[in-house]
Amino acid sequence: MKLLTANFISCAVKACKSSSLSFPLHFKDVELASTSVPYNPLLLSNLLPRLDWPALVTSSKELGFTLPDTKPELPRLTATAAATGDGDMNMDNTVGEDDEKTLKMLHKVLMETEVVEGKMVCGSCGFEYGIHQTVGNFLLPSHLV
Amino acid sequence: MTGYAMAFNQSTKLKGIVNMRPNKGFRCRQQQLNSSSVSNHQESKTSTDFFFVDNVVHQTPTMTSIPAPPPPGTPLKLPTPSTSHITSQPVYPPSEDSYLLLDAFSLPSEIAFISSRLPTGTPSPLLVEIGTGSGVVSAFLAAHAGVLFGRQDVITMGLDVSYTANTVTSTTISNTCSEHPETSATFLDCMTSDLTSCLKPNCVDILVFNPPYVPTSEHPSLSTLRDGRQQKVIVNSKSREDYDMEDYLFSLTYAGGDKGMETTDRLLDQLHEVLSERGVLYLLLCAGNRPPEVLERVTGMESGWKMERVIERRAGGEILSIWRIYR
Repeated sequence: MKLLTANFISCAVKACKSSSLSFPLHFKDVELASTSVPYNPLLLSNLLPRLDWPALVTSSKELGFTLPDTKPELPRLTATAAATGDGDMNMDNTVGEDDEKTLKMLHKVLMETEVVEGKMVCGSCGFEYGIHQTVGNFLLPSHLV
Repeated sequence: MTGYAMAFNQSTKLKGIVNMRPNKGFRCRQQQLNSSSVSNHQESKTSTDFFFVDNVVHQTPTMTSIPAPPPPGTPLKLPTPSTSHITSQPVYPPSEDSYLLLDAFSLPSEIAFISSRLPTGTPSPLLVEIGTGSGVVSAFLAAHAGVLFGRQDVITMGLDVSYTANTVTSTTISNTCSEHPETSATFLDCMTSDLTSCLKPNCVDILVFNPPYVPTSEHPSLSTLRDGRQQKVIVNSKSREDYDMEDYLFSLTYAGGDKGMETTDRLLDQLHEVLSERGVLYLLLCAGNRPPEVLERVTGMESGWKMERVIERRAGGEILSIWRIYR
């Protein structure tokens, strides 16, 4: 499971959905791997507005990464700026060196960090979801449905 | 034979199970009937054939009596994802129903609809498929996102109750996306989940569901997966236990219980908590699901839902249709 995915996951127990403690789920006993994902600055810049930043900071910390406390302000990229591919967006002059550094860092942490084995724990009910070979298992036992 | 397999054999309505074993006679008949109604996508020659159903009573359902939308044009011809890495894993192989979904998204009218719902420059859409099976639909949508959605800044996830399906789907999507880097979205993860129960509320922008839609007398319970041992990848089943699990997993792919709607109904019940404000569900129905009744139900739900037919096709003994449901 990629770190970014954790920003869209909450406890599957129905009663937990309304609790702020059920999101994000907390990583535990993780085994990490780095996976190669094509760099897509347009995606990152358009994804940022919809991410829950505090949750992302928490998840990152649990995996050993430090993100800034506040959501970075990035210029909104256009498709043409991003279309130059391998990160060289300066052609469009929309991304400065610092912003590009931020984008690359976000890419590495959010997209390329993968939990291969481990657990995700709900802060509300304490249920532990297993991650096995990168696949998270969110099927609850019958008595919790 | 398990109870579900028996229920299936007794069922007079079919899923594309007959199509799981490429049936030349069927194909010829369909092409003679109306060449324009045949999918761009062909069954993979290497797809695994699991069910072979003899002596099935074919019913002749009638096309839905709901006024058709304006002619949507011809689907774009985009390459079908390869599922040749699937050898003998018990997943639902690409079939007529899967291809109908691909064709629905390839219609110029649907491409225009999605671009207007999720215009470029708005926050990146999240695409989720429930019940990915082989992964052919998710792989197609992810790999051709630039064409189908007019943008590549889309993230995708796959959800299935079967761990085997999730591992297979990850491979199908990753392989297909790497073949189309110039149009592909970013695939995040496949997860084992009952419907979208693991997702944060109201975050899905495009939801795709090809449900277990065959009306059956029994509806398989998920308790075997919920309460059993941790699932493992099933490939080349040898043991009795594996065969039983295969049977059970297949029953989950098609057996829809009463009117074939028991699983779909559960999703519709939660839809307001699943889709974002701009979200759209693409749902496959067969005639046995009684689409007019589903339409009445959906449009009667709170907060003004719309349900529109995107495409409809006769496939073997059934009539399949894809619907879009949104607020």
